[in-house]
Amino acid sequence: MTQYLIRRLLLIVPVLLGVMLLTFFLMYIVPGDPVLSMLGQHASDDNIARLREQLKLNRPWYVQLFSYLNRTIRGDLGKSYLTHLPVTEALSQKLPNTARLAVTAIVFSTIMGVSIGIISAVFQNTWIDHAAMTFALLFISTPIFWFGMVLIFFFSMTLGWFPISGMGDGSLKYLILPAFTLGSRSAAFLARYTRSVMLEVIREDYIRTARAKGVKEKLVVLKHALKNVLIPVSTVIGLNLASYLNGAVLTESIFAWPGFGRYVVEAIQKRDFQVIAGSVLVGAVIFVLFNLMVDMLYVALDPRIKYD
Amino acid sequence: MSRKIIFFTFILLLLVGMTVMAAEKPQYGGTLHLSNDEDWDTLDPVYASGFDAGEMAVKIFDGLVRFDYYSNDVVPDLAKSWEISENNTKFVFKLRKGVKFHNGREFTAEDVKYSFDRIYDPEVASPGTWVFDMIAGTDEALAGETNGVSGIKVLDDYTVEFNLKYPFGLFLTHLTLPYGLIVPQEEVEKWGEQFSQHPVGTGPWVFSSWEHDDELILTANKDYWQGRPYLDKVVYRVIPQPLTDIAEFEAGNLDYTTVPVEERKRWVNDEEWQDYIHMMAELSTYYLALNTDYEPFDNPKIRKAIDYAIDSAQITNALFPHYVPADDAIPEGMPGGSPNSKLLYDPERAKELLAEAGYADGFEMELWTSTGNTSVRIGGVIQALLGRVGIDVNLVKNDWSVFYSTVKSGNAPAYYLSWWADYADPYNFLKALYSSDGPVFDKPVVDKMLEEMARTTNVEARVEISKQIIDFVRDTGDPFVWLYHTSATTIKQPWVKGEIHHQMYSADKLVTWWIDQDLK
Repeated sequence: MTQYLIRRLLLIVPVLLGVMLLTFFLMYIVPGDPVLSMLGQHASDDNIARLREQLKLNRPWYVQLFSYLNRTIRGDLGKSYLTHLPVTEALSQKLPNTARLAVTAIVFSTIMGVSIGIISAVFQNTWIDHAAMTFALLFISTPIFWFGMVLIFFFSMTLGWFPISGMGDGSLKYLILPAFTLGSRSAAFLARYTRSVMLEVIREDYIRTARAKGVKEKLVVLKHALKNVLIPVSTVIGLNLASYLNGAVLTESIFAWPGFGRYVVEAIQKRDFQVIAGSVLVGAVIFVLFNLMVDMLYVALDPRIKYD
Repeated sequence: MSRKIIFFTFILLLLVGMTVMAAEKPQYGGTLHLSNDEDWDTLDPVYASGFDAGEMAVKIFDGLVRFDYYSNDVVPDLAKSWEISENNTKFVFKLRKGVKFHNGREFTAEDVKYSFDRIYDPEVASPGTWVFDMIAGTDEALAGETNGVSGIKVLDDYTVEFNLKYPFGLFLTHLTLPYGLIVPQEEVEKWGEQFSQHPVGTGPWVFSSWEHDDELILTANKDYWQGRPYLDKVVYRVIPQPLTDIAEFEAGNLDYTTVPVEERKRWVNDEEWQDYIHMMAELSTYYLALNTDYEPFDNPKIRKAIDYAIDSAQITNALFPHYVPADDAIPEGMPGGSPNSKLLYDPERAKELLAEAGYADGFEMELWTSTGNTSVRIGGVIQALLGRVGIDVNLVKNDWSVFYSTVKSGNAPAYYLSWWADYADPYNFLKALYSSDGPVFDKPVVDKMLEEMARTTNVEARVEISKQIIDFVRDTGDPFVWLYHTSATTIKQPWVKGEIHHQMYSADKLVTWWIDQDLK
């Protein structure tokens, strides 16, 4: 197990190196650069050339690549061309905000999705199952933007229960609507997925054996079946969380939530290379680590799984 | 009897008048809540290239001159007076005494020199070097050959001299741009590139805090040399979505905002809000550009035919009824437009011109737009209108960066774009659109006229040359088809009072706003 963990951790190095190279070359070949965003409508040939030289953007690609790798390996993600702020400083402000939103959304979607999925499977083909799956389909098909605006209209403007947008003083009431909006689709997807996994599991021999031994149905579902359902479901939850941490642009935008997603998208629009490179790298680290965590979780959930 | 009635009526009217006047007397205090659709790139004037950054910087910093709060005239700011000599090449400014930076240190001429030297320090890499490149010594400073700009001299603590390379009548106007705001050297050196996070100026507002992408707070400078602002505090929130923004306004959490285009009808037709809605012409011009380096746009008849085929009035009325159709480059409310400019629409004449140019069966062309909603809609309408006269338009839609870099590199044969005023003078529009540096036009005659326009400080003379340029270009085949000038619809809460509408983005220092606490 320890050996496996060390091997996986070592594998992160080439993966991240690959991500860095890919990001660099993609940014190098796509048209547009931060100088155009900086100069705006005054981007004349002279101004562009001068500023490119001052910002060292006209050096050969291999010099830029070496400088980028050299700096990043030493833990320096560079500075934004537009704000002149270190990327690490900006990320340290945005990531905790996105983490709050993502974790709350995942907790909500897991509780809702897994519970509804199990209930649907247990009551398969009854009105409860049909109603739950219809709602799930509805939530999956609802555009996030529209759903967020409806929530604002109903819960903030009509009922006045929650603030409309922003993080305010950081209290929970500011978090509810964005987290609900972000987690709703995932909850609906998890409900459908959990249902289908559960339906497979309750047809397994060990469940039949448990029932034959006279174990109560409640215990069969919650003790014997649920544990086996959680293995595939945890993969989905883990990847969802990693994906949310990499930014929930629409939700952050609707609710004016100062998170990672908005930061990255604005940087891409303005071709702020240092910010894009730094953010993609941090995003990749999050993804790789969450993948590893999910793999480790399997061992805890299923003693049969061994990596050595 | 009648005398008594007249007397009492007079007294009553006097009392009512006095009450109204008392009510309209500006009150001090209160917090103003405003919003912006994106975070500010910087608050450091030397990097303030965008409108948002400039708009915020003028609240914290002052310049030598500024735009008047009630008109687009240039008026004294930190400079109390100036003398212009040697055919508009020497400007000597007398500075105000007793003005203090927010850190308590007194402002002097050395600060002016330092702020301008900083723009031309190659290490700083300011995007604003184009603004003052008429000052002598800027090229040498930028090349690192001199330490500072030789054309700027401190004569004494309160006098500073600017020497220009060539006569430039709009120098004072250029000084209103946010790059010309004055910063204290010791604070810039103390914070380095973090100065943007700790801006210190002499302006009416003291920087308080800034949570990026979330909230920026300013507090009133009680020692402001013009007298403190009426308000105590201004809280700006960053709200990217216009619909969320207007919802915050409706809930009373914002005091003033822009009405989104999709919500405009609802608010404008709402009687309750009619008195609080304001529409203001913006100094902008949207156009279709035809790159004369490409065939067949090098043929003036083809350019004219396209002008005849596009109905700017119909496009404007159908898509943005509150905007003004454009007949030349100069927006409404700004002098310099030609009385001979007319909205052209005559598809039959367009077909005739196409036939005369040897394209009776039309031709295929690429039209570049960004992927923004408005751009795509306008592109579609132009495609349909040109299709009617036999021109087959392929729309090439790209994200803004790709689109703009293609346009700037001269690789877009035709494109939809706009120009927004840096300052309210026709020179700003015509220089950008028609000079040889421009991406689509090359006419030495126009360059000469532009040069003449730049030299004079006489507004009437500049306006006259502006008209001549517009007429000349029209007669020789304008490479632009003018589409429309925009306007902004804003809304305020009933308690927001004062002079709150400013056409120039850099004119509003928030010193004329106040809150009527009795209405709140």
